[in-house]
Amino acid sequence: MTDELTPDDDAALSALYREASDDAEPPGEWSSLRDMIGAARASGFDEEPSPRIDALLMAAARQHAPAPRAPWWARLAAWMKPVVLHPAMAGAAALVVVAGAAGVMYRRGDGEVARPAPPPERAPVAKRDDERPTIEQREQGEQLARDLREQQQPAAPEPVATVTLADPVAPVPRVEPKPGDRKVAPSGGAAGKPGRLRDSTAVAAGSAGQPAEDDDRGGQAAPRTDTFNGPPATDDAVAAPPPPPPPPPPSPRPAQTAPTNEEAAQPRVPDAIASDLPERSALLRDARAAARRGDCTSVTSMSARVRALDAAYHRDVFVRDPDIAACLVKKP
Amino acid sequence: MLTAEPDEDLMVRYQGGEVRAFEVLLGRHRKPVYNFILRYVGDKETAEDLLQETFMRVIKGAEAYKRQAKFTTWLYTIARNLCVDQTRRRKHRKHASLDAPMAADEDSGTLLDVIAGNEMPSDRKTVNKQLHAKLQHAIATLGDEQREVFLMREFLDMPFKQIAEVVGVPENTVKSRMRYALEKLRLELDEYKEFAKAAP
Repeated sequence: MTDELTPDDDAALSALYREASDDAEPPGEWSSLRDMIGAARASGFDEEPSPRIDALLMAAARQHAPAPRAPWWARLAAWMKPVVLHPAMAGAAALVVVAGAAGVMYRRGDGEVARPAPPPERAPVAKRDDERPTIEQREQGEQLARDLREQQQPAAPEPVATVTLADPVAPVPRVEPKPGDRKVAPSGGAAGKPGRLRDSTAVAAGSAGQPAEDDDRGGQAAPRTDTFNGPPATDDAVAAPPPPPPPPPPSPRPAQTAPTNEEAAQPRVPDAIASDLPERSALLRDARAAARRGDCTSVTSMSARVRALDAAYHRDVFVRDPDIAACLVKKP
Repeated sequence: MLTAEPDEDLMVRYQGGEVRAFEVLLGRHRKPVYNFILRYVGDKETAEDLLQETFMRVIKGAEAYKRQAKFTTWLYTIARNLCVDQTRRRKHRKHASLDAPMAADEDSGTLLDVIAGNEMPSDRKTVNKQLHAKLQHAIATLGDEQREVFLMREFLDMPFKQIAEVVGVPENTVKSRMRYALEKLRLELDEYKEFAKAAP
């Protein structure tokens, strides 16, 4: 018996079982045979297996059924469980996660490490022009301060003239010393009174007789070696904030002589207060500069510090400054 | 609904632990697989044993089943291989003896009693009974290779291409075997063809 299949047989089989797309007619005798087989099957030729086989097979199917697959998150949790429970593994996993996140962030930043923030720029301009005290307002404030000083009784250390620094905006005109004036070191100009630098601490410490008229002379204050607690300021120091004065040397008590008229007018400051004079002066100076910039927040904090140092100085000098007063009145 | 799902999806469900999916598969294929094995080996007890063994192998091989493979190809490959092993174990294939009783009870007749002589019985029921017996005998007389191809094509309605995958031979070889099986059966059953045409 060979397994050769002729083309006719192939076509006949394809036609018989409709496996070909063509409409070839199957051989008659084969079609009759198929009809006979179909009739036999329709009349119960096929047999049913025994029902006990079904019971046996179903029991075996239940016994050997594969375990139901847990969802992906359950499988992941089961895999991660031993890692999480073990402290060392959990720490290592956390380190890997952190390192990975840092690496991703580093890569996203194109290799740039976090740059230090640039120093905040000084805000030379106030928020609004109307918030800055004008020159006229400052002059009025100063005049008011002088009037208040003249009216007050010297119960405590007499309030002295305020120390004004040069306006950082306005140029500081140089004042040539007049022939009649005492030769003094050039000092920083003052706002409103150019070329003047008045050190309130020096006057409050009891000057050696420098009359108040010196302040009106327009000249430059002489370095008070016995009372001035710091080096004389120069024009160069006006442009930049002056360095904090060194700690005051122990000022020798003046001779126990009868006070002069000038000395009586200038009550002496106790030594305990004299130690805070440079800091108060610096705070006053800085607060005035901040007020002119419109930085009232800084003025408020410096006001608190001055009050802590010397309440009387704060009441009589600090808050009376026109610029500072304008800032303290206005809420930031 | 599981009964409307294809065999491959049911097998995947059983892989996921759904025993109900296997029950649907069993109900769908138990009878055709049993009849294929029965016509191949010719013995009911052997056919039931092989049927049970076939589905046991399906159960145990469920985890390894690949969804890409056609389920019926896999199923009948198992059944056919079991039948081939069974016939090889038997030195002499038992043909359905015409003298052997058809049932266990003593009153049952033999195939000779059923198969009519030259005269056709008048009642339909008797003719059907004779036709069944004749057909069963005719199939049993086919060679193993022709028989398996004939049973798969005619009783399982399996395409020749799929039969070629199950049997492991080229499609043309399968068609050739089918051609010879049809020719032999036509000669065996020629006397019943007119009666089959008139059957309701």
